[in-house]
Amino acid sequence: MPRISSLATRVVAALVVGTLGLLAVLAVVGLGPRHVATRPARGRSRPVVTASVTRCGDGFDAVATQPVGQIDVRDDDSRPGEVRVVAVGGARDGAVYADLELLAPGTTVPLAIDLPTGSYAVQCLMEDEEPVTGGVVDVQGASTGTRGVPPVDQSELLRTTLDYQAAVGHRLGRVRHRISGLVQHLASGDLPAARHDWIAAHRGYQLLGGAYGAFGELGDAIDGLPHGPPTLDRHPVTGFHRIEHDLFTARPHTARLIGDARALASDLAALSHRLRSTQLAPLDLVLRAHEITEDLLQRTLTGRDDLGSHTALATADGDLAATADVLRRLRPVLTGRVPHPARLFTDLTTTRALVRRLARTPDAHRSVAQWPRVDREQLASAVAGLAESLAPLAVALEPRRTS
Amino acid sequence: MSASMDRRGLFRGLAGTGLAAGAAGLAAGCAHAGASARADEPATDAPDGPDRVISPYGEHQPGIAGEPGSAVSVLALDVVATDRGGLAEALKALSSRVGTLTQGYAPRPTGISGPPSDSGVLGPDVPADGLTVTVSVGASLFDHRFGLAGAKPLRLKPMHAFADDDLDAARCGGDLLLQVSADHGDTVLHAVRDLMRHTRGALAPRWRIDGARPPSRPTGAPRNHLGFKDGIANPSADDFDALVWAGDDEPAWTAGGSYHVVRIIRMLTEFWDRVGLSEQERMIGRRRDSGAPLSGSTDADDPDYSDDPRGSVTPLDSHIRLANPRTDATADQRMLRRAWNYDAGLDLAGNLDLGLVFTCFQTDLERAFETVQHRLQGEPLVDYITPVGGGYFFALPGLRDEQDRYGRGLLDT
Repeated sequence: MPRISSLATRVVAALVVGTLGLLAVLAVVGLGPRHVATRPARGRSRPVVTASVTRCGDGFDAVATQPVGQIDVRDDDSRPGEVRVVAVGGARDGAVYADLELLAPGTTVPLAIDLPTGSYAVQCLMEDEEPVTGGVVDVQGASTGTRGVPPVDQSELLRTTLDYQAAVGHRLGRVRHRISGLVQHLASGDLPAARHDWIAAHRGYQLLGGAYGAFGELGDAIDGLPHGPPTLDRHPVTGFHRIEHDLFTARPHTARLIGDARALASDLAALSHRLRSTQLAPLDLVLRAHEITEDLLQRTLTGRDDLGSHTALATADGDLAATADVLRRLRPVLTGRVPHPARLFTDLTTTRALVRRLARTPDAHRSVAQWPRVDREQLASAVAGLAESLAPLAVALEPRRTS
Repeated sequence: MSASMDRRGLFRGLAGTGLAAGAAGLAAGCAHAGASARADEPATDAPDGPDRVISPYGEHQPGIAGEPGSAVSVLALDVVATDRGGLAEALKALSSRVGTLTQGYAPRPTGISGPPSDSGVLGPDVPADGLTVTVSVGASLFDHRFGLAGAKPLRLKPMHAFADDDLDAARCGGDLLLQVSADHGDTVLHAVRDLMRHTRGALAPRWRIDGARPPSRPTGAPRNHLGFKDGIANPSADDFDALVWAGDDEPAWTAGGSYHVVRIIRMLTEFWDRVGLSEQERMIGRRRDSGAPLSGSTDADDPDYSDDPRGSVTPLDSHIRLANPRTDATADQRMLRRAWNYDAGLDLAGNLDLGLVFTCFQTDLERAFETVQHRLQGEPLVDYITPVGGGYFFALPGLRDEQDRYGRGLLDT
């Protein structure tokens, strides 16, 4: 990383500041640990910082006395790009404290900063150009402030993502095997075994973590939900939930179910083929860390995805197992980027234990609406708390350009 | 699950701390102590004037005695945490967020460490906008879970159905209640989202009802969905020690608190609109247009029943006369009422689901609310209104300062 750090820059910065600015710094520091200065005084213009290959970070020295508030970032380049404020030197060297993406040439965009004491520089990542780093500025900031996060490079997650993809493919094989069993049991008229196959296959499918449309239209065909009542839905549900709707009734229409199960088997085969022929992006892996629990909250714990099987707890168990798997794989990059990584694992373990406890109650065979309120509150709160704790991972671990 | 609470630390802006209260007069309609306009902000923060900051600190929670905001959200929650430590952590998170939100602040940028700390619905600088949050506890909090049975306020109990009620269990009770009020609905909802986010995993939302206080039409107290001015008569601040704040016989930790009743009262407005005006006025005991008591000429006149023992002017079973007969014997049954109109869509028959979020604060639940409620039983008005939810709560004492937290005295017992 090229640095234009120099004593001269710092001296210039100090001169630019002037007496008033220095007093402001002293005033802020003098107020102690509580973070006070949230915005520059009225009438004082916001620092304008240049984003470009040739003059990256011009104007940034003003933050020496205004480490909290907004700066205006102006793209003076002919290219679009990304601008970051990064720590220079020290334990957090390279950590990102502010980030502005999708900056268009000729535009000026405000960027909020809240810099703790340290040395910082602006990094300009213009399209098709090597990153350029501007002059280093020393900041007397607050004791708190934004938590800097070292960016994750795509390359750090490639191996992990490949391993994950292989594991997903392996699990998909087991789901397909279960669906074959489902077809056979339907053909032989063994409905209890067929229902057991469906539950196991559906839980197994949750382990794939296909949340939030991760598998696109194929995912919808496999595990999609009705888009409305039959009178309004021009694309009736297929896959798991169509079978669920017809199988968990008193007198299922077996012939139709066999057709639906075969269609599901064929969609699963297509997914299997796609998993072998295309590469999962590391971002997909990172997003799944919280999106599986988001799906669990929106689809399952609201009762929306229960079309008759009343297997919310089995689904939850599969979803949480899938989340745990993703989290384990991400563990190496969590350190230094998430404040309490160990707590995430503890919370996940606690929530899984809660699901197992509820699975030993009549809730295991009831729709969520029929659960005692306290059970619903306990599980929804645990999962919502988990989703809240996992959400930062998607931002902090998002693969970013580092070169 | 505690991660979501302590990982978002308190971030307090300069705004609103230690500022002169000299601008308080600018805050229209805000007459109570503890309100001050932010001196460092020009009028640009709020569309209709300087930001109204109501300090959350003091002997009492400011949302009780203060002028009610024009919007409210009443949110009941259950404590999911299973021990006292978990409860304390949730109350601590609430305290610090209320301290921040009620004074206005600039949310902290998170860089790439996570999603934004704020929903952004109030713009980059969050105004105070007259926000108050009243935190109350329900009787269920004093069960076996937290070892608090011995600390229960003497008069706190679950709300049972009265004779004219049609209670929906899904809208009743709760371990905790947050009554969030502000000058605009977006500020209220912003605060609700923030408070829920910071207690996610520890507090489970149970039920919620939103309400609004319409502007004066054309003057005086706002009108309810029946077209009548509501909340004209309330005890004056001089009587609050006797009528509103917890009494000396209560556990010591309750000092400064108050019994807090919430009633979600459905109003059958289509039916009401098919009733003649004089019958409406007889049922209420006031003129519809002016709000004047039937015994008076303007809404500023106090109702006077002294020469009307048989109800020739104000029927004996009119709502205001039953609710407050204005005798010496019933003087201590008065309570501080705060009500907002709610609008919740339609019922199955296509009737509007309109009503009142009725809240009141008092020293003694039975002496005030319950006594009055029993007296109102069977009043002619009950054909047009149906209580469907709510509960009994105890509004905690106020936060003393920034270091204090809700339930401090309670959890130390």
